[in-house]
Amino acid sequence: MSEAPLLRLENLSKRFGGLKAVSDVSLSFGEGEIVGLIGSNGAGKTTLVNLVTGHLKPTAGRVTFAGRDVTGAPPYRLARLGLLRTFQVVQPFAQLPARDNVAAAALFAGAAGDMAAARRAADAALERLGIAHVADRLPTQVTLAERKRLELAKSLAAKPKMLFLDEVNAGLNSAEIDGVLDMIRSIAAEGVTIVVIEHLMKVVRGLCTRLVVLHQGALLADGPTDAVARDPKVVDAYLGKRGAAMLEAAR
Amino acid sequence: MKTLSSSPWIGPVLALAGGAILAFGLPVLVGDQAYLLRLATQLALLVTLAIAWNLVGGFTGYPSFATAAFFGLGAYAIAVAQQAGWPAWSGFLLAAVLSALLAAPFGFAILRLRGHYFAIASLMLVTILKEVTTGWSDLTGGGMGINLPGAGGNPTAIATVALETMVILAAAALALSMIVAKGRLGFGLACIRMNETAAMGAGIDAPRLKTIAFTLSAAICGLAGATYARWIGYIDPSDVYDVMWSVRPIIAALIGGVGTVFGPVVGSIVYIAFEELMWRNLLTFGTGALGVLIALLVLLLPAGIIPGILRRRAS
Repeated sequence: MSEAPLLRLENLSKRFGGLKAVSDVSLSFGEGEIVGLIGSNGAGKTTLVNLVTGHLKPTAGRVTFAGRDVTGAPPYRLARLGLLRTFQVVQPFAQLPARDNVAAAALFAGAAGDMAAARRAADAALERLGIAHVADRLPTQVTLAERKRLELAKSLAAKPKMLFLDEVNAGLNSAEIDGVLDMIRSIAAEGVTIVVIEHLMKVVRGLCTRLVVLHQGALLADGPTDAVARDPKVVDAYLGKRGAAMLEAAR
Repeated sequence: MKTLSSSPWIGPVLALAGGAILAFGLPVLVGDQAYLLRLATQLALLVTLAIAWNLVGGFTGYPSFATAAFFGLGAYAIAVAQQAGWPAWSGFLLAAVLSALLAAPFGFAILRLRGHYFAIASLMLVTILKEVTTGWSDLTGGGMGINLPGAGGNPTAIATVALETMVILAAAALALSMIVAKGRLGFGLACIRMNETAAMGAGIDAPRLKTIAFTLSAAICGLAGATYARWIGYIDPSDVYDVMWSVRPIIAALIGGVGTVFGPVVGSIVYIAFEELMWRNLLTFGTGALGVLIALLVLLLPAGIIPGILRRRAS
């Protein structure tokens, strides 16, 4: 990361009453990186993502994206700048067919000039994620794995520079996960920075070249996956001996 | 759907043309039958308000009770303008502009609230404007009400002009509603209605789009109020700020189909027809019978008449 980072967080904090959910986190992300954001439940992962993507306003600190100060900017502005996220619980537009779900992102955040162009972009995104066959179905009429891909297609249609994927693999079986991982890699290969929030060691190990560990709202470790996984602080606080062994085994 | 969306202007043009034919054809048909003139004007008024409400309550999914506020504001705007000697057209302009100017900041503020909270906040505006109008008696005549100068003259001529104006306004509202529904704004509003968090995540500027919908709706209500004031010739706060001006359009939209383009039109026709039949035949139980009708509709066609028909045809 010799050039200026795509996303930079400086001393970011969020307080809910007396609880410091995120405290003094500073991080930088470069173009095309695949980073794993891990930590136990309540470590502040989702809060951090909410702060960065505009769903929560930070109590203190600064967020810079693509050279602009975007601290506290609303999600729709960030989406237009190319900073997008998927949610832990998928968030479709329930009464719109899959194509129009994706077209919304293409129209309002992507480069599509009108509805027809947006639908074409949507079809391309669905095709790319291997779910062209669900284009005319409602989100309620497709499988969970397809719905997760639909969320990815929405993000893709918005022409992202950076994607936060919040447990995009939760609830999927092993084969489905492998499919999603391939897609994430191919998206990153185009220069899109990807941050995955994950519990699944297999995903973290197989996908991420860098790990960021949060513990009780603070940054515990940040570095290459191998080094972080062996870091005694991380083993003590989060992975445990067994988790560390699993990470080792998944190599 | 594809053939319709490929020609987005046909619907609105047809609505306007149909409105013009109705506006100038109806008076010829009805002649000087005061009852029919009144009924047709009332229907056009309800259609207009229901379409205006549907922009916010239907397309956007925010159940507004502010209709009466902008209706009353529009009525008073034209009344005060005419007392000051302004020509009628500038009174209409004032009604629309004042309603929009009030709606934009107020809407931006309260559209952060959802569901019941939004409904109550929007209802508050009706009470506030009613109090302000009553208190500001130098300008508005206070609780004594206000006369619209030049409203005297041939009652049939006044009623005819009122009908023409109201029908054209209803047609214009319908055309606007069609354009919104087919366009970028309507698509964004639909996304907001279904999932506001996801809409913002997809790049939709929800606060802005919601405020635009609320403002458009308010301007239509203001124009309807102005037309009403010129028709009746005398207004007072308890009449034009009556909360029933907020409630009846909602019932009409619910009957016809909330969030559909034609639901408010169909619902208004059913509502007015039923109300008239009931008043004529069941004077003492008219309101009760209306309640029964609404209960039946909720049970049999929970989404309204238009979605009910569409579903039946699809299955």
